[in-house]
Amino acid sequence: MITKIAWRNLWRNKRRTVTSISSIFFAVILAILMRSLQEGSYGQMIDTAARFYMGYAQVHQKGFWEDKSINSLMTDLQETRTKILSDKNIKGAFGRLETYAMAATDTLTKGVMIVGTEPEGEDQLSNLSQKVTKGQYLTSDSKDIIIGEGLANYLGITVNDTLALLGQGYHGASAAELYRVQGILKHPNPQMNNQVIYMSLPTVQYFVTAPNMINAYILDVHDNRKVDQTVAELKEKLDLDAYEVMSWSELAPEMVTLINTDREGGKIMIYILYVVIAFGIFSTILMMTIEREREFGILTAVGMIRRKIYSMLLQEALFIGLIGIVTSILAGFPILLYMENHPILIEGAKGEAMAKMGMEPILRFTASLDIIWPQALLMALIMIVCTIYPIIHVARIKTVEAIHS
Amino acid sequence: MIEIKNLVKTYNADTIPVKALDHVDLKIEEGEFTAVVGPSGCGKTTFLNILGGLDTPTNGTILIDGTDLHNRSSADMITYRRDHIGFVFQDYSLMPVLTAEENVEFIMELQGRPKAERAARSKALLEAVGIGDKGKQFPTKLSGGQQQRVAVARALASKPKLILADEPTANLDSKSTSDLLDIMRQLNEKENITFVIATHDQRVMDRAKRVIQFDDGKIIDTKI
Repeated sequence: MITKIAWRNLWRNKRRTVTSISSIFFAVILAILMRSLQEGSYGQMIDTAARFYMGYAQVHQKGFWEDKSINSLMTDLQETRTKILSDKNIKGAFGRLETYAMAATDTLTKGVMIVGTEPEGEDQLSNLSQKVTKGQYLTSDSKDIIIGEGLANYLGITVNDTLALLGQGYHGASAAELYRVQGILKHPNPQMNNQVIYMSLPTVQYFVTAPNMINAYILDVHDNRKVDQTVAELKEKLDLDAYEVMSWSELAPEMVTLINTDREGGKIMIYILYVVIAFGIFSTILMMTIEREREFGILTAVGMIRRKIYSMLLQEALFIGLIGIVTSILAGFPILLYMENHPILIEGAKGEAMAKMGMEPILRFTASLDIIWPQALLMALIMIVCTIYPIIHVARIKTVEAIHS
Repeated sequence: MIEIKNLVKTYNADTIPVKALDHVDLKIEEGEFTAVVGPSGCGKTTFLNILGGLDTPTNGTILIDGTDLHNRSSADMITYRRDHIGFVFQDYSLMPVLTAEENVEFIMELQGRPKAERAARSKALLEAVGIGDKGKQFPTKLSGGQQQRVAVARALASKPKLILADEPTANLDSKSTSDLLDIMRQLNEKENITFVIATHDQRVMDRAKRVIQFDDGKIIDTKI
């Protein structure tokens, strides 16, 4: 009956109860949307970084990531690739061989990054072929190269021009060759755009005198939320004395730090919002308590132990909280689902600026229960905390004074 | 039997002391129907509060069936009141969110009695006070007289031996007062429940078996 009384008490002042529920409803909705946008943006950042360069995870020769030496190469073993592909979250694994060299035309030179890749695999991950603005994308037997637009502009070369590359090969061998530019691409990452040269894997292996060798398998996944689990599974499958398996978060720890810092900033904003709401809820519950002092006096007079009155107050607060939380989830989750599938397109100068920075000009949301349940839990906690003082107030009520108040 | 010995209640003992009860000695036998009367501020309500365990005396003791009423913790006092004393207040003091039936059942629920027993007793008590057909009504839909009958039924719900009523007829018209007093007297006689009623109402005094007159915190007269 305590629960029944608590429930009915809520509707003694409908307007006040509805106002309190509404404030919780809008606070939770707002918090969910803010968190969804935040997490969506992080997902987009990770996706962009993973898809355009590093992959969601990589497998290297053990120690490669530490020294990044051209000498820390692994043989492109079909057996290793088969083991990697046996994981059900792995969508693709392709070899890559990266090195650095000096690029020279007849008048200019520039340090460049050479990425030897499997063109089909690279295209599957990043749609790199769509970024080619002039000439042709690579094929697996291409002997020519494609270069970043920024690099092409700097060197003053275009499709069909020849570029000299001079670098260091495997185990100290010299690497020098002339290559025809078969395409120019606009890489989304501005730094890459100014220094990258893509070659087919056999061509770069030939350049550095490292036939059938690579320095990484770049992994594409079906579900990027399960990358850590996939990495853990691969670590069990592969010989860790010979290989290292790293997720994107290990490959780009600075991005993890950036995301975590931004995430905490966003959370602080939400906490400020909740503090404001909490004061409103607290005053409502306190008002509901103070105006019923006489009633509580009567209840203790007729034999209701105070613990049951505390329970009644707590239930009243939790009812308000639960209605607010449940309605906000019921209304908010479909909004998140819609927004996840219909991201907001940023147009105009702002969109162009984002694109120049290598980001897709969209505001992406993510619909995940991991975003919703902490808000629900936090709000329930706020309701409980807001009831503490009113309960203390009731504990201090003197029955006889309350009855005659 | 209730035995009150040398009961003193002083308010503001540290500043300007006010003696609400001044060495009151009294015996109330089981089954009495007693009216406590006197002018406002004479100590009637204080006497009832202390007799009901709602307030504590400054001095003196109240023995109910030989046991000191106030020799228990405040938590024990709440359950003692729940199980042994019924209260009727001037303004009825029903729970506005509960129906008449639920108001009566509520006390029994606090006692942990089974639902079927609660429902049956609640119905029977409302029948006994003459509003058996109003069980599903909320207090706001009942007249003052009907609400006070529900309050009496609620006071009886826990099967107490003592009912304390503070100005129970103050807000009622003549007909309602007369009906309520009939009900209380019937319960007093049939079930041997002791009633102690603080009142200004001559109609209550006329129906009481004993009238105790208070003035300045003292009993100045007792009429049987």
